[in-house]
Amino acid sequence: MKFLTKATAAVIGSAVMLSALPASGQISSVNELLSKVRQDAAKVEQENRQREAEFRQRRDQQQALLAKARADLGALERQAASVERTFAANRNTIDGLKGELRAAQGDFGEVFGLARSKAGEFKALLDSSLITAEYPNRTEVLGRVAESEALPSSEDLNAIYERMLQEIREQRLVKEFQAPVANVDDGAVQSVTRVGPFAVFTSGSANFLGYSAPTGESASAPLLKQLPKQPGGQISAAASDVTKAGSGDLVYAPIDPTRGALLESFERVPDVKERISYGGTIGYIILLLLLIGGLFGLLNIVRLFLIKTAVSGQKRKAQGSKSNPLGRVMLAYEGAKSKDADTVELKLDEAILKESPKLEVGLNLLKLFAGIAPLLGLLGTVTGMIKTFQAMMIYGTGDPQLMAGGISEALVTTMLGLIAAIPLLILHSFCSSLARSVQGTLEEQSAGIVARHVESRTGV
Amino acid sequence: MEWLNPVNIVNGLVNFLNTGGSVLLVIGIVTLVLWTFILERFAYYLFAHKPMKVRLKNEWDARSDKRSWKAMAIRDEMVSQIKERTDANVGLIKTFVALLPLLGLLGTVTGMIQVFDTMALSGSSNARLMAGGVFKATIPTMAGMTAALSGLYFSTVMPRWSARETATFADELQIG
Repeated sequence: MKFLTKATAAVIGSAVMLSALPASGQISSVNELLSKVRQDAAKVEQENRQREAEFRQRRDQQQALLAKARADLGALERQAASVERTFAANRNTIDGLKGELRAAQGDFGEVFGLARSKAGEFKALLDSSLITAEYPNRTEVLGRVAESEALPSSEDLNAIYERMLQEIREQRLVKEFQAPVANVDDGAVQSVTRVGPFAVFTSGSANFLGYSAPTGESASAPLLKQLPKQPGGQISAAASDVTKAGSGDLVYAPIDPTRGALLESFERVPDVKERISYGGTIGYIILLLLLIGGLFGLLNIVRLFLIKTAVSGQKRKAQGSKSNPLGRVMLAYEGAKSKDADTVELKLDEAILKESPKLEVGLNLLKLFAGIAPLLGLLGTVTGMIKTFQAMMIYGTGDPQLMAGGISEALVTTMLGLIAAIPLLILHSFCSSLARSVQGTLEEQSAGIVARHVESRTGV
Repeated sequence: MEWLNPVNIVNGLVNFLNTGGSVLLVIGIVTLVLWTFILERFAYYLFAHKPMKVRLKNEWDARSDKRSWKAMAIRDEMVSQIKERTDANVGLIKTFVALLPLLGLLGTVTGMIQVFDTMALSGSSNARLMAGGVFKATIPTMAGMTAALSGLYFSTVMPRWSARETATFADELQIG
């Protein structure tokens, strides 16, 4: 402010000098100049006096204003003190009244506190019970009692034990009701059946459902959702029995004593396909071996069976045919019957020796496959154990999950090896017994059969 | 007499099969097949063996020519027929007896897989949960061993019966 005043004064001064300069040109004499200077000086003094008077007047005014503001401050301070006193007095009154209230409530205060805490606990219990899916709004009143500061009304207090009795009653019922299911038909309302508080499944297709407690933010979301992986087998069959049973029928019902955790854990149990994939490359090699060996063995059985029926048909016919081994042996005799007995025997032996290898084709391969399969299983076990020990070396033994991959490979390949070996062994046993029977017929009986036919023809 | 009640017997059997798992069922079926074959052998020796022997012997005794190579060939054929009949199914009985312990081993492995499944799901702290898998591992092993033992005697003795019967029959067919 001061700086601004100085600057203003300097500007005014220089303006005066500038306006004086052109006037000096008209000044003709020293007297005139003198009188002009005096005149100017008198004029400036008059102006200064006037400004001083103005300043004084303003200072007086400001002092008056200051005095007024001070007076106002004093009044307000007095008012504040008085309000504070009133506040303290009121607070004392409130404390007194609260004490009076507590004294008046007496033991009732504890009763209502207990009612509140019990209502809260019981609400949590009911929310986690799947019976809430049937009565979605039943825990509302309990929440109100638990959270409100006001004294609960007698209806609210009665609601607590009514809900308790309802839970007890509903727990022993097998019941069908309507409820929305989250991931079936876009959350449409379905007819579902529950077995007490233990299991719940759709009434139509007996698909097990999972229950999740209601959360604060999504009050209207469906509480039930279909489990991604159904347990299947006996458990699902029992559920289906329950949905089909009429009232009064006695059927086995599936219950989950952990109230949902067991049924949900089915999601993590691998199915057959996943299980086989745990076996890795060796597992697939064993399955390929089973496939090839099985097909080969079945074809072999069919082939040997056809040969056997052809041979037993040939036994009764005197005329040999080229289509079966016994027929070919008989044809060999026909070709040599004019020779002496030793030559005939030699010819027959030769013909039989030609037939034997044809019958044994593939038997050794089948036996090899049946022997290799469990060995491959053992190989898988060893590689699986190597993986397990590698995991132990790297991560330590703290987390069994890290070792699980190797252990499953070890066990699954052993299992697959046995699964492949057992049918292959049975196939080999069937094939070899068929082949041996035809071979026995050829080696030990063909000469006799030929001799019989010769005798019956010549009538000896 | 409570245990003779058919309902109790069926329930007990179903419970046993349930604790043992599907491998136990397979072992049961294989054992049934094995014993069907063993009983078939007994039935053959009791009812069919003697008439066949008598028929072949009469046929041989009725022959005038018992010396030529044709007669020898026919004699060999008769002996071979007896051998074929007494040897029938013995190979299969042997195979099944060898298979049963393997099936028991398969049960052990599937049971262990279940034990590890349980461990993966609920940790290794709960021995009671693992017991189901341990049952599935041990019961088929025991059943496979027992069933194999039950057939082991016959699988070793039947080839000997066959050889003996063949030899005695061959002796009965007099040459010359």
